[in-house]
Amino acid sequence: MSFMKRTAGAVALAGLVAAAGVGQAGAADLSISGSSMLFPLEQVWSQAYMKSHPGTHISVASTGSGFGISNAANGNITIGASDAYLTRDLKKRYPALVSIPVAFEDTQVIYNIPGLSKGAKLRMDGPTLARIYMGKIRFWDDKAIRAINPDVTFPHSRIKVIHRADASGTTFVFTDYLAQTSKAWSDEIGRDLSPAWPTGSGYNGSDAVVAAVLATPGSIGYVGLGWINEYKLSSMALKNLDGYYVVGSVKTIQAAGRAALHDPSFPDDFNQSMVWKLHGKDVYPDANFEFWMVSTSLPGSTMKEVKNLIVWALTKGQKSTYTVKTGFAPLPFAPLKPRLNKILNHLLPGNSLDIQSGG
Amino acid sequence: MEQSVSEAVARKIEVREFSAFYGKTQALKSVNFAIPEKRITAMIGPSGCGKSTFLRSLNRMNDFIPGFRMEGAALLDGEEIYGPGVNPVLLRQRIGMVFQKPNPFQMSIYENVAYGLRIQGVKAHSLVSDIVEKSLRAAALWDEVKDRLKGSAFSLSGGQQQRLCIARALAVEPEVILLDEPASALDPISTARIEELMQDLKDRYTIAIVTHNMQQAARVSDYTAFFLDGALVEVGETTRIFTNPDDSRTEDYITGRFG
Amino acid sequence: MAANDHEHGDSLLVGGEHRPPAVAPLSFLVPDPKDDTSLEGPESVARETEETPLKSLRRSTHAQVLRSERLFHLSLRLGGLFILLLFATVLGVSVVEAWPSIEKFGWSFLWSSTWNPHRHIFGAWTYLVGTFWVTGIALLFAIPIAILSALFLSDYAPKWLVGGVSTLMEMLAGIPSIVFGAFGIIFVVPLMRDHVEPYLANTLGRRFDFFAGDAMGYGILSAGLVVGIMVIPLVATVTRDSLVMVPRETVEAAYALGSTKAEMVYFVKLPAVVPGIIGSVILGFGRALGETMAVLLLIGNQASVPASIQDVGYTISSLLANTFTYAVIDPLFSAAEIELGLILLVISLVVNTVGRELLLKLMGGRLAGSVGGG
Ligand SMILES: Nc1ncnc2c1ncn2[C@@H]1O[C@H](COP(=O)(O)OP(=O)(O)O)[C@@H](O)[C@H]1O
Ligand SMILES: [Mg+2]
Repeated sequence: MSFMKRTAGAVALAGLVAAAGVGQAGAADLSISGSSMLFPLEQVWSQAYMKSHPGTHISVASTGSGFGISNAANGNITIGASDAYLTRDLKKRYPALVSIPVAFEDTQVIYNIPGLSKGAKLRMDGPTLARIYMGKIRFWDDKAIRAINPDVTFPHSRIKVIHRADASGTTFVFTDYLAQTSKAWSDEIGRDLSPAWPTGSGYNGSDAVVAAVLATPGSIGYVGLGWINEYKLSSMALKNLDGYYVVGSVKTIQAAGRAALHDPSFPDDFNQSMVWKLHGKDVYPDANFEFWMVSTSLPGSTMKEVKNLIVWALTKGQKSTYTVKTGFAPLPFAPLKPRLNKILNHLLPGNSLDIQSGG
Repeated sequence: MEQSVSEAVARKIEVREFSAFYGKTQALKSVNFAIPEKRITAMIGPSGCGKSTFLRSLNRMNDFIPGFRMEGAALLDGEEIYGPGVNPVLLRQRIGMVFQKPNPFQMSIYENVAYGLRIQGVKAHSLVSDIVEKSLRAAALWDEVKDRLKGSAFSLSGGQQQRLCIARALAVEPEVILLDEPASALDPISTARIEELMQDLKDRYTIAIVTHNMQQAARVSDYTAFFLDGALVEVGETTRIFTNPDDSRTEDYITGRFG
Repeated sequence: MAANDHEHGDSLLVGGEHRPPAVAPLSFLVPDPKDDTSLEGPESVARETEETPLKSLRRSTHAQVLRSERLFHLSLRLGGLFILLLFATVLGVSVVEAWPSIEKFGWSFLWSSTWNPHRHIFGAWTYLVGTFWVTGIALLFAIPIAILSALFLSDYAPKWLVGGVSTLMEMLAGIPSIVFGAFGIIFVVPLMRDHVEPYLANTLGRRFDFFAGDAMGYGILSAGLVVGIMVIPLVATVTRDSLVMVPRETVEAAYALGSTKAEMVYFVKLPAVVPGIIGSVILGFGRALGETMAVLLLIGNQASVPASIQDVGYTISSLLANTFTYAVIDPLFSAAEIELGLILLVISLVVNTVGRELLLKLMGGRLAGSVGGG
């Protein structure tokens, strides 16, 4: 029953959260709702923040990234939590929304292959993974898989594709990797929180994906860093832009984040994927920022509270007792600061950041 | 003491020292009694005196009542009704029963009458429909229902339903028909039809009828038995019982002084 | 029901030689002039005007009597009106919210099997088929078992067992569906995956693709069976209740005609409870159609038309549960999902209506019989 641990308590009624909108709430009442992945981190953050900032009350709910984005845009909640950045489409629909990166996450590929030699390290590249998820590669001993893993002997067993059934940021990041590396995937399915899966079977939440993979011989699935750590799963090393096969970990995700933040061509508003595009030996190719979405139309007093919370989250809040414990990799503050200043200034003009450095 | 029927007719059913119990309640007390063949025998007596118990003992319908127990002997054609080798299912094919309230099945008029044949495995369509017609005619219902045989039995009036139940009982060709207050839930016209019907049937069947209606007993029966408190008080030719009963209690009951 | 039971005994109506002194019970209707307790006597009128505590309190005018009637009727009407309003609101809001999708895809929404939020193309077919299969498997599995267990409880189980089993059955009906879903995952899925599905694939599956597959455990079969388990207590309880209500007279009639117990049960009791069974099946259908949590955990949530009972699929309700919070981000996406919900509403309305008509038709004879009695 430990599968339920991470999502326990994450059930929240969308209507309740919407009803507790900022309209009725006092200035020191903040509501955060959205991504179920960010929820555990937001819970520990809100506990710690309310302790050190008496007078501020934060309510947190796990309602899905889609809900977070749309309700932050229309002002029903103060902060919308999302695993995905604002795509061009969403940016057009919700022009007032601003994305603030708050942590690193990733998506890793897990598997259950009976008869595989113990300690075998599997490798995978984007095009092959895409063909598996399109139902075109159907057996584990397919020559495409063997070509990437010359040292591994695979059984001739059916591949059972497992994916998320609910709309999820993990899926977005996963399909992002497939879309960036496979033209067929990009053309036919694309990246989405809830794409039209061509094959496989879907499960609600990452816990269920882990459970299904563990229970289904021959299966392949994907989950974020938090689940890999919690269930001590082994994941495949994914091929990155420079041709290295890298296993997801706090270290390799941070390497990817640093590469993105140091890349001058990476946009200031963060509304671009960091999947696949980054160079480096240690860069994990399927990592992502987690976001808070805030609308510029929030009243000034609320915005001040929000800014304080954001600054706290990006400095003290990045301690690994908060982030790594709940399945994330901490953001490095220094390389983040220039872009963050611009964002905060946009949210609350003339009020940019004057803080030394994060913890 | 055995009360006998004076006329020389065969005894279709005979009970000897027959007692019946529901748990600790004794409903029949050492009854000795014979039902003559191809005659109508009426059973009268105040409510709760054991008439139904007596009737239901003859086709072993009381077997279904938890706690029911009998003593003594009951014979059909001289054979033990409660004998060890007797299968009550087969017994009931020989002794049919019609109840106080019409109780047709939730099926068509035709299927109601055909029911007994169907469970006995009679499949031939022509035979079944012949018997259905014959039984409905015998029950004086044919003319009223011949155009609606496929219709629900519940679409009939109460009196028609009761005649349907009689037809249904006749269809399996029993030797004895037990009627437990068959007209008490019916209007006078339906009652009259059923009384006529019994006269038609008595040439072929042995009939035993329980009735609360003294006039009915007087009109239809050849013999009348008077029960009181689970005991048979008196039995004899109907004309005699109603004009010159031996027992004063019989007279009291018939003239309405109690009951 | 009581139309056959005439209030007057035959003896009062049919004349005969031995006319019993039957006037006694009717005497209160015919005032006896010598009887001074008669209501029409002058004394009783005098007594009528006498004031007692009750007489000063009780209602004395027509208007007072009417008022209580009116109040009661008014509250009944308000209750009825509320239900109507509620239904109209749900329907109205759904149609308005679904309109972008209804307008864009028209009827083809029903039979298009493409569901691609990315490309803004939405069609219900795969979800309709998945819903159909799960509901169908559930009912096919549940109805026979439910009827058999109802028969067992009503006619065969020893007395000491009946109470316990009936209580268990009612408790089963009250267990939240998530519990059944969890039971499905830890018990039904492995059972299907390791035993039932490989067996099916090696037997029936060799000749019919509909039973073949690669034994995943998750899919329409597991979802259907678990929903079936949830439907069983519903159908069984209602069926048992109607079996118990079959009049003893009907049962006795069957026995008196020489039926064995099995014949009595099969030919007489069962036909008599068909309306009850249909009613319970409609209830069960509604439950199966709308069941969300258990299905979502077990069906494999894959938008494809199942070609085999071992395949995964998707139902309307589990799709909504999985993706609706995300769909709100895009008006056409959410409109399409609301249209799916609307379809579910229409299906259950149609089934309820057809079921009710069927019931009325079946009961028609019985009702007519009770009206036309005598
Ligand atoms: N099923 C039963 N269980 C217990 N007692 C019964 C049952 N049926 C009848 N009795 C009792 O047996 C006695 C005779 O009843 P019954 O044969 O029905 O009388 P009748 O038909 O003459 O009115 C009554 O005292 C009645 O209460
Ligand atoms: Mg009686």
